[in-house]
Parts: sequence; structure tokens; C-alpha cells
Amino acid sequence: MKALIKVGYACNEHCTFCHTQELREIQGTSADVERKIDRAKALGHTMVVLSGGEPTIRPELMHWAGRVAAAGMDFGLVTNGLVLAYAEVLERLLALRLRYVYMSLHCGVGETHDRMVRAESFATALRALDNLQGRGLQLTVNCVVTRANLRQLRSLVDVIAPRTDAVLKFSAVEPKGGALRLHDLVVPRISESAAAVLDALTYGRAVMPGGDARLRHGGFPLCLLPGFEHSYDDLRTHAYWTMVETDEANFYPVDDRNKQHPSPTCDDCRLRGPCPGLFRAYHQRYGADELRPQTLGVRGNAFDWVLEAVDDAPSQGCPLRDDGVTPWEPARHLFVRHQGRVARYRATTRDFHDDTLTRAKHELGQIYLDASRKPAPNDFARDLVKLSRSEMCSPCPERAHCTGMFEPEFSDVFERDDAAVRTRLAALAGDVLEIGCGYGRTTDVWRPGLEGGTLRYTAVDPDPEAIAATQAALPAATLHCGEAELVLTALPTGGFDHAVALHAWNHLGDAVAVIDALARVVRPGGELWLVDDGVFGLARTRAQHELAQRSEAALQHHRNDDAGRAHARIAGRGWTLVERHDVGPTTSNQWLLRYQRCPT
Amino acid sequence: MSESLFGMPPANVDADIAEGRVALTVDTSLHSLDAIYAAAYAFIGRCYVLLERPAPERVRVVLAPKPSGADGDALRALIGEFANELLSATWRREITRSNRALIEAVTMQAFAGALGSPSLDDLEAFQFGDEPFEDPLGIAQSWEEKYRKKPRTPEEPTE
Repeated sequence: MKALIKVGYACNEHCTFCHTQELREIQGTSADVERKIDRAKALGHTMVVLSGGEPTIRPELMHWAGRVAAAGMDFGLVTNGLVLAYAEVLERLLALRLRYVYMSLHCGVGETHDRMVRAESFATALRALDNLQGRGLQLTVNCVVTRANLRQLRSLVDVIAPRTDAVLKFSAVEPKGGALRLHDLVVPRISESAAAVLDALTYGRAVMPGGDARLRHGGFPLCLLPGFEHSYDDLRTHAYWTMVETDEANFYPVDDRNKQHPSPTCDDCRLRGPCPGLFRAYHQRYGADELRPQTLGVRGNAFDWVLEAVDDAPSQGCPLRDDGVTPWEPARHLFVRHQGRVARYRATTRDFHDDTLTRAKHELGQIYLDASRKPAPNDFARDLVKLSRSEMCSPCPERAHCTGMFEPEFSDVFERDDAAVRTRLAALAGDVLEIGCGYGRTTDVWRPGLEGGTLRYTAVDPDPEAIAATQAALPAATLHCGEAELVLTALPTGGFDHAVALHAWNHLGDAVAVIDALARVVRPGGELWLVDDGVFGLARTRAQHELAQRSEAALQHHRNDDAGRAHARIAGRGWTLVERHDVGPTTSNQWLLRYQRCPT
Repeated sequence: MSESLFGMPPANVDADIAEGRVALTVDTSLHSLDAIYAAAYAFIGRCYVLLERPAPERVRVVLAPKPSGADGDALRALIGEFANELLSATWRREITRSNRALIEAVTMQAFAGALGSPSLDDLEAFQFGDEPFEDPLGIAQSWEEKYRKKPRTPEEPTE
């Protein structure tokens, strides 16, 4: 777990695209950096990485490295590497637990590199790279892609290929600082630079020993790098959890707030979780037309916070507020207080974007402690304990930006919400069509009506075993095996009084096609009931998390709509909304929409 | 006199309570000699440990508690604990065997990353202090120091 400390912004290069170009005069004091090193240790970090500016030009470099090592942490550098061309400097740093180097090199053609950094440094950088080879370092060579090197990226692949310890990363240039000032000269269109990076990555895959394992990219929308979606690289993939700028007093979690996923373009993209999206400044200038969202494909609807530590709760006060709330990520950290102890969890998932995690945790309260020992809980009422924001947070002035203290709430929200829906569905009469009946989940709802002659029940499901199980439980039912989109085309127009989809909406491949087909088969005035689950998070032990990771349970969701998002798809397609229940802090993760078929 | 202990298979475990010793006969096709040594080593503080080879595929481990006078229950607990330790040692060995390549790679990286392979002379000459490094090539000069044109002083001649 790394902490990034920016020691000041002076540098021995002067890159055209440098995003701290206006800050070059600002230098942190040595005492300030020492205090931050000590703070990193207190927060539980295992490595301190110094950055700038250029941290290696500071005369205190060895002193800081020594302080990090003396505190029992490893040491790392984000650097242009030039000082590491001195073999003896590198030797001393290695002895002080240097384990990680993230080094800039922007082209395999010396003239281009030197022009980009406005210094004659290419040869020195190569000497440093040769020194770094074979030293057991985690070594990344970072190339910022600008208009200057766009057409020469393969040359860098050729330079890095034989230096087998190095991972090569291509980074999109952020329109900020120098790159913003010289925007038209420096910043290429994202589709153009992504195409050049895709070419270089493909070339690297063919010629580099180690292939994909040594190739990364950062800051590019994943939809523009097909075949390399999993090669993304950022502060989190490098295990950074906090950072501190030179003028900041405390650490803050690393985040992607300088980027965005433009809506509605990215709303349904399955790559959204790990994707950086677009830099905000870029989107402001060019919009999102270059993006190619990947809307098809399955995804998960749950994530884990994994237990990191358990401490005694202080008898008075809040341990978060007392120690400063800023280092803890509002969404990705989770603190749970119970019976005099405080457990700290952390979510590392990249299946979901931070915004989704934040909403699930802080807006919707969809946080549960997994009390089961199963790979995936399948009886929510018994397996999950709802966690709610502690009352102690209510008067706290830090509440809005704190990760918060949570406590177990021993109320059975799942059983309560489920029972309410079942009771109402059991009162339906006439011709009922269920989309996605599953393994007899609702047979007890329909059986009294079927046996009493008030209900005729038809169901559709793509799973033959589910169909067989439902048929065995309800012999009088009419069952169709197949995808709903196809089966519905063969059902009679106006043949049903009610259509019901329980926990099926987000599983449908083409939900809108199903809605349109239902508009045909449901009689005017008939009802459509949609009930489904929203995204939720589970607090789990590491053993539970790993058991789940090893599970062979297949992802089945084609989207993660909440009630609002589902309604946005249905609105204007022949249905009138008559009832809506959203997910919220006092509910389970189940939402409901009820519609009436328009008369015409 | 050899006696059996409650709950322990007499074919493998025998005890001489009067003499204060207990023995476990181990099938070496189930547990390697290395695992037996590892388990035995964990007991040498508390017991005198003797190893015998009663048959080609068997090793007999005799435990005699150092403070004499152990009764049947104490001997039973002792040999049970040894049997569990033996299983643990065998399992650890299995994990080590399956992770050997990874462990060797990580160890090599750790050693290589720390100091490479320094000679004693290297170590003698090594600078462990936190003094600033020398910069004969001026690499660590800030860009402004190195490249920015100095403003002319009034005394400088102009062209």
C-alpha cells in the first residue's frame, strides 16, 4: 500500500505538457516531507513514493529515503530517472529499500524525447534505465502521448523491449498546466492518440519478451483500446491509496475526479468500472463523440469491502474524526463499529466506478455484512445484515466528506420488502405472464390462484431446468423455454391481463424489445410489474472474499438499472407509470415499478 | 511395558507409562523424513526425542518428557500434539514445494534489489549515510539553473 508525497515542483526538465508547470517555484520544506513520511507510517502504508516535480534533484533525497527505510517502509520514486544514471546514487537508494521506480521516457527517438522535455536528457535516461535493469525493482517506463511523439511510439517499444525488467506504459496527456496552455500544439484528439497507442501495444505484444505482461496504458477510454481493456494502469493498480500535494497538510485518497464518464454516452458501458473516461477539460472542448461504449455483455451487481483491521473502539469520541478524516476514501473504505470494536474494510473492486460505490454506500445505504460462509449469499434475509450510518455521525461537521462510521441494523429488510410484493402479486387474477420464472421462486405466490381457478399462469425462462422445476411445481402452468425477446413474438396479442418480471429486468439481453413485445401481448388497461435489485456491497473477511473470487458463479446481469434508469427506458413506450418504489437507506436493494398499459 | 492410550490407534501409538515415554510409528510413505525432523524439532525443548527405524518404511518417534512423571493423559496429549504437528509439517512442505518457483523468484528479487552481490570491499567502501550525493555532471540542477538565459548585467558588453 503506497503513499505518494509530492516534495515540490522544481524539475531538471521542463516538459511541454507538464501539468504542474505553473507551480515550479513551490518547494516543500524538508521538515514538512519528514512529517508526511511519519504520517504515512502511522496510516499503515508499506511504501512511500516521492514525486514532484523531480524529487531526485532535492539534496535531502538520501535523508528522506533513510527516514522511510528506518520507519520500516519501502521506498519509491516517480522520476525522470536522470539522477539514477549515477550508479552510486542508485546503489545507495537500493540499500535504503528503493523498490519501485516510475520513470518518464517519452520516445525512442532521442531528438523527439529531448524536444518534449526541453532538455538534452535522452542519453542520460537510457543510462539510468540500464542501471535499473536487473535490480529486482518494480519498474515502469511512462510515455506521455502528445502530438510530438504520436507517430513514433513503436520506437519506444524497440528501446524498452530488451530492458526486460521494465513495463512500458502509454499515458494520455491531461489538458492541464503546460498542456492546457499549448493545447493545440500538444494535445491530440483522443481517438487519434488511442489509435497510435493501440498500434504500439499490438506491436509490443508481438516483439517484446513478456508481451502483454509488460504493456500498459493509462488515461485512455477503454473502448478505444479493444483487445487491451485489461491492460489499464493507474495509481490504484500501482497500489497507491493516498497522496499529498506539497501544500497540503494531510493525505487524501487517490481518485479520478479530473475525469468523467459522459452521460448518457457511457451510462450503459460494461467497461465503465475500470475505465478512466475522458479528462474533464478534454470533454469540455471536444465532447464525447469519439467514444465507442460497449453496452453488450454481462456484469456483476455486487462488490466486496474486504476486512483490513479490527481495533478497539475508543470509549469516547470518533476515531475517524479524532485522527483526521481525509485519508479515508469516502466510498472505498468502510468502518463498522460493533460491541466495542471498529473493523476497517476496503473495496478494491474495479467492476464499478467510484460514483456507483459512493451512491450505493452513502445515498442508498446498500451495505450489508455477509454473515454466511457461501461464495455468494442466496438467502439474503438470513445471510446478510444491513449496515447503517451510525447516529454518532449525525451532528458531525465532517459528515459530508467523511467515509463514515457504520453499525449493524438488525432488521430484516429483505424479508419485509419481499413479503410486501408477494402479498400483492398473490391477489392478481386473470391471465398472468411471468418473464424469467427461475427455479420456482414464485410458485407459492401463484399456486392458490391456479388451484382456485382465478388465475391462468404462463411463464418464460431461458433455462430448461428452471422450466422443468416450475412445471413440476405448477402442473397447470403454461411454460415456454427461450429468450423472452423471441418467445414473446409467438404469444397472442392482448392475451394477458398482467405481466410480471421479478428480478429479471436486469438479466434481459434486450430489455426495451421485451417491453415493446409486452405492450402487444398485455391488454389495454392491463398491468406490468417490474421488481429488481440495485447494486449493493458486502463487508466480508478476506477468506469470504477469496472464496467468492474462486466461485464459478457466472455473471448474469446485462445492466444494473435502478428504478429511475429502468423507467427512463420504458417511458414513452405505451405504458403509464402508476407506482414506483426506489431503493433507499431504509429499504432492501429491491426496487419496484408498476405500469398500466395505455388504452391505445 | 507397552500400553495403548485411549483414543489412539494401538498399531501406531504405544506408551510405557511407568517409564514416562510414548512412541508414534510413522509410515514414511505418508510423511517424509524432512517433515518428521521438522515436527520432532518443535518438541526438543519439552522432550527427549529419539528416532528409530523399526522397518524400511517406518520411523518410530519416541518422546520422553524432560520433567519425568508424566501420566497416561499427559502422554496421550503429547503424542496427539506431535501427530498434529507432523501433519502440519507435511502440509507446509507440500505448500512450499508447490510454491517453490514463486518463492525463489521473490527471494532472488529481494536479494538482487537490496544490494546485488557486494564483495567485502564493496561493503567497506559503501556510503550508508544520508549526505547529499555528488553531482559532477550537473544532472540534479534544476532546469532553470541549467538552461534559462541569465539576465544581462549592466557591465556586460552588448553586441
